Parts: sequence; C-alpha cells; structure tokens
Amino acid sequence: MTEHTAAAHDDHHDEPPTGFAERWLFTTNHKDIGTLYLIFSLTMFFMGGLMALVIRAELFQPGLQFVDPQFFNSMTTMHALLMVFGAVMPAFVGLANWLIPMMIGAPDMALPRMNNWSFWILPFAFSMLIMTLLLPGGAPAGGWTLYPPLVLQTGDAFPFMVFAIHLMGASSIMGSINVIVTIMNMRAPGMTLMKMPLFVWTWLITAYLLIAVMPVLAGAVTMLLTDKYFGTSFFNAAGGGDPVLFQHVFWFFGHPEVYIMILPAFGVVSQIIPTFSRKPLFGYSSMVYATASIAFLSFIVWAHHMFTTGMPIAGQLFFMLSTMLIAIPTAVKIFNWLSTMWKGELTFETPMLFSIAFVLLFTIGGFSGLMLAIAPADYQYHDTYFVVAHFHYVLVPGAVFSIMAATYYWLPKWTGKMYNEKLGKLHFWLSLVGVNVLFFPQHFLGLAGMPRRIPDYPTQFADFNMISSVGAFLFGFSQLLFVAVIWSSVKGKQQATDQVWDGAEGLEWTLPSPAPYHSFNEPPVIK
Amino acid sequence: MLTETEQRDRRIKLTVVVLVLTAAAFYGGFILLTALTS
Repeated sequence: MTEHTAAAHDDHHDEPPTGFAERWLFTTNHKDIGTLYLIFSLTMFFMGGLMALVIRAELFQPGLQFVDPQFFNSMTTMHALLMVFGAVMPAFVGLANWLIPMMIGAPDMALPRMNNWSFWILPFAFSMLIMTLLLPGGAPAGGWTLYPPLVLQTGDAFPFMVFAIHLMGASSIMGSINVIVTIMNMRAPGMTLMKMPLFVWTWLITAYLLIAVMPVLAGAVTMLLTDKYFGTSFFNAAGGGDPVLFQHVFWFFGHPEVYIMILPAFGVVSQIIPTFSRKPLFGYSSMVYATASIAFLSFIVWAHHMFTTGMPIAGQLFFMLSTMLIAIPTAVKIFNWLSTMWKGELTFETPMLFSIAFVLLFTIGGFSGLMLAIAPADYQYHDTYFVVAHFHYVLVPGAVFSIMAATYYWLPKWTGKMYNEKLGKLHFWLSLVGVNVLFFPQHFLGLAGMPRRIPDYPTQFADFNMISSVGAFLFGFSQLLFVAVIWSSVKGKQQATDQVWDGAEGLEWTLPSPAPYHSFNEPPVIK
Repeated sequence: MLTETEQRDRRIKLTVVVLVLTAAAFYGGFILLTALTS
C-alpha cells in the first residue's frame, strides 16, 4: 500500500538526550512519552490488580476474613478508578503516542510540549488519589460512579478525589487535542483519511468522544464539590436538587467512556488479525463507519444504566432499543474480523492468540450487555454480579487483552529485539484460563441474586465465589510473566527485522527496528 | 504569502482553539443545564 523515500529514516541524526531528567522529565519525543505512559499504565495495572486481589481474597469465603467493610468498599472504588483512568486509558494513550506519528508518516505529535504536560500530570493525580488511603475516613468508598448522597459521606478524601479526577480529565483532554490535531494536520502527503490504518481511525474517533465527555465528568464532580462545601443543591433533594440528575450527568460521560476504552482496542485487533492472516482487512470502510456509528450511539444510550430509578415507559423503550442498535455495528466488526481470518494463512503467534481471544471473549461481554439492555430483565440483573461479569468480560479479555496483544505485536519495533515467544504463549494461556475461571462464575452468582459491592454473602454463593477467587489469583500472578516477557525483549539478543512479522503492512514497519528517535524527518510517499 | 509550514501551523492553532472551546462548552453547558433542571 505504501512506500517511503529512502531519505525517510536514513537521516536520523538526533539522538535522545543523555541525562535522565532531560530524557524523561523534559522529553517532548512521542516515543519517550509513549513509553512513560505505558510504564505508568503497567504500574497502575498492578496496583489496581492488587486491590482486586484484596477484594477476591475477602470474597473467597463467606464471612469477614481480612478487611473491614469500609476498607472493602474503598478497594472496589479505588480498583475501578485506578484501572479505568490509570491503567486502560493511559495504555491506549501510550500506544497512540508511539504509533500514530509512525503510522501517518509524521516526525512527532503536533503539540510535543503539551504532550509532556499531559503525561506528567498523571503521576501527581494518582499519587494524590492513592494517598487518600492514609487520610482520616479512608479513601473514597462510594463506588467509581460517585453517586450522591452516598459519595458526599466521603471523609477528608473527597476534595482530593475531585481534584485528582479534574487532573485526569485535563490530561485526557490535552491528549485528545494532540491526537486530533496530529491526525488532521500531520499526515504524510497522499495519506488520505480513508487510507489511514484502522488504529489511527479508531483513535481519532475516540479523541472526539473524550473531548465531549471528559468535561461532563469534570462538571459533575465540580457540582458535587460545591454541593458538599459551598451550599449549592444541584443534587441535594433537601435544597430542591435531584440526586437522580447526577446519574444522568454521570452516565452521559460514563457510557461513552466505555467506548473510549474499547474503540482503540478494536483498532489494535484490526491491525493484528490481517497481519497473521496474511490478508488485507476485510471491509475496511465498513469498519470505519461501524466505529463512527458506535461512537454516535454511545451518546444516546446512557439511561440504560438507570432503568431501576424509575423512568417513563417511553424512556425505557428508547434507551432499550438504542442500546440494542449498538449490536449492529459491533456485529459488523466481528464479522469483518472473522472474514479476514477466513481462508487466510493463519499463524498463531502471541499477538494473534490474544486477538482471537479478544474476538471470542469480547463477544461474550457484548451478548451479556444485550441481556442487560432488556429493560424488564434488567430489573432482575441490576446491581448484581451479572453486571460485574458483563463489564469485566468487556474490559479484561476485551480492552486489557488488546493492550497485551498490541504490546507483543509492536514490542520488537520499539526495542529492536524479539521477545521470548514461549513465555509469551505461556502468559497467554494462563491469562485465558485465569480470566474465564475468574469472571464466568460471576454470571451465575448474579443470576442467583448476589449483589455487587458486598464484602460478605450468604453461604449459597460460596462455591462460585471460591472458584472466582482462585481464577483471580491465577490471572493476577500470570501477569508477572508479562513483565518477564517485556524484559526478555528489552534485554533480548535476537535482533528483530524491520518488518518483524512477515504479513505486517503499514508505514511503521518500513522504519528500522528499533524505530529511530525521530520517525520521519522527510515525509514518506504514500501510493 | 504564507509558506506551507506557516499554513499548517495556522491550521493547527485553529484546530486547538476549536477543540478547547468545545471542551469548555461541554463543561459549562452541562453545569448550566443541571442548574436549570434541578
């Protein structure tokens, strides 16, 4: 599809700065900032994972074993905030930083200094959030959805949490502005929008979603802050406000947020499956339109999270049907991935294994989502472990698996060395078994009526909880292998070729491995 | 006459301004909407 001029990567005289602070603290290089994002994301993944293990250890048996209920609630809240805003989103921003300039033939991101600022806000935001564990009253414990009036009972941690969320939002908005500006203005000559790799497309659409909804979350938490400290009554019923209104505002952000975490995952999988099928992606343009349709629909489905708050029947019908509509563009994507693989020369390297698992397991999460979309049935499922199983299927073997697939796929391009394939495959199989043992039984727990966010439960739920906890520890400890594989590539001996994978196509594979510090000083020629 | 680079820089500045204003409008707009509704 593409070719670049000989001068494109021969003239990379710029070397990274030698000093630690100059290289990492003051960096404006998209690859260094991408690396920082990815390391930060992995750190948050392990911290959030540790909190998940506290939750699963407590739920291993009925009764209170290890932690008191208040701390348990802090763990569920902090686990969610860390995983959503600290692990998944920064991982995709890291991938965007590394890959978008290389994929569109640009030398760097359009706004490199703002890029540095977007990243370096995050460690401060999350340090502040995590340190609320040490404050009187403990860390936030009202759930990541921050519903008032419950969340207003948070102790001294409350304003710190609000400030941390504002910082995360500012970071995300700056990151998205950078992505949009880069894609719209820095593409190599001849790289029309419909020639862009799918990963770039999905990120472009995701960035627009972020700009529309992160300010809404910021507005919601600002109003919570003024309700608690400045005497306003946005959500205070005693003052004429409406607590349910918060849920509307929150989910206007919250539902697109789900797609913010999954659209770039679609992009990753759309890059990997054609490579290991040795075929072009089936239905490229339908993939682009499906992504845009999902993004549009994500704005008009929010109240399906709130069926049980009481809603006119017309409202229930609208949100039920609009939610079900999302199945159509999503099915287009699943169909296209399967058709890409159909009659392809398939090989099953680790990135492909994670991608195939993504397609299968994300579909399970999608189907349970359809079940939850049915308003009358949702009255039964609402706030049960069925919901927990549903969104974890979407986010763990969905978003997280795609991040792992992306890491394995592009790691040799980043480090210049191949990773240990045997260890990679072991990591995949342990993760696959672990994640299903962890989350599949939670469907049954939910259907049997076990509520979410409880530290104790009746003995009838004991068996499935025990199985789920065993899966959690298996999945959790398997992730140490992920670090070992990354290390095996960083310190590896086997030099990666420029193309790395023999079916790989796209501008990033025309660069040497490891990719030079500045990608394309001369714009490549796109045929 | 602006060079190609200058034209691109102008486009970049314009895109940034539009996106920042969009974000600000969503922030302020939703607070205003909530205030009017509650």
